[in-house]
Amino acid sequence: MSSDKSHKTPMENFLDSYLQDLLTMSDKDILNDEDPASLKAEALQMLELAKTIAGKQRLASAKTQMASTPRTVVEQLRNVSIAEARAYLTKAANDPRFTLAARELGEMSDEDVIMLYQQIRLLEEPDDNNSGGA
Amino acid sequence: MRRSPNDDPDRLAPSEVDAALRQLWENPADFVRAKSLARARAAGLIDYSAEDLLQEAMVKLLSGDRRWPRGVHPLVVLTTAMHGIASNIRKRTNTGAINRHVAVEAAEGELEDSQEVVAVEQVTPVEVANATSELAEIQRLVAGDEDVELVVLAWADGLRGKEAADELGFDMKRYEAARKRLMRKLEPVQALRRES
Repeated sequence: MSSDKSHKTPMENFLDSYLQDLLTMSDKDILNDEDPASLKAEALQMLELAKTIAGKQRLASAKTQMASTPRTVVEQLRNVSIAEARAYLTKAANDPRFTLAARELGEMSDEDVIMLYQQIRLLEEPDDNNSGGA
Repeated sequence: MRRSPNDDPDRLAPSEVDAALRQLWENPADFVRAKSLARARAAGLIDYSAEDLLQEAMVKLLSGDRRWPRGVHPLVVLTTAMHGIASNIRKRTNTGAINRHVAVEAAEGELEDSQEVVAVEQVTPVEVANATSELAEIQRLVAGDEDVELVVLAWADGLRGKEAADELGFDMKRYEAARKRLMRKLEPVQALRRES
């Protein structure tokens, strides 16, 4: 807990004092008659369970993000005009990350231009859409 | 976008949290200390044991939902996490919009046929009254032992050790005796709850 007791609630102060008290007691006094081996086993069992639960939560969170974000992106990309898409692809033709000949753009149908635009934009999306996992 | 725990150099990454907890539990006495703190903080929570609280604190630290600042004693981190979780549980209990025992679904037909959804306070007035003050349960446990009651109040005021003893007008022998009785009284909080 923080070091400034003037901003603490009574419970926070109480826990601080209790913690300090517990830390000043010897391990022997703390353990009293309890079996150290079974306590350690119990602690590690709780840790393993906590790791499993935390892992599942992270996976569920990542799945939710993966499921929702691409839909939003695709929805945004659908609304682009053919002029915007062509302008974007012309610019992308000079981007070394993409292999795209500028001369081919003039020969492409509007439908192909929109499709290519969407593909490139999705490739450019941050890791959330392209990492393939959490 | 939420920052990943790995992006903040001032906090432990999940793998470091795992290692820190594993190292902490190498000493069984520290596990007893953590459980004692969990018992004190879980006092007054409804349907939530000390073990639940300690377990959830570990989950939230491992998942990165709660921050483990670098360089802070593990028991301080765990206590802070448990306090935050318990405070949130208390807030949810006190401001709960609906009775958690009632299944909620879209109503079809006349509304008068459906069960009224009531505030949780109306369902468990005794439990909620007990939970009004965060320290109420602890104060109730020590009621009748005046010296221990005074130590609880001193700790709640941020005093401890000799400072607390001086403030209460106790010599250290009397203070230590009261402190030990307080710790004994805190131990069975959850056991008593489960028996009741």
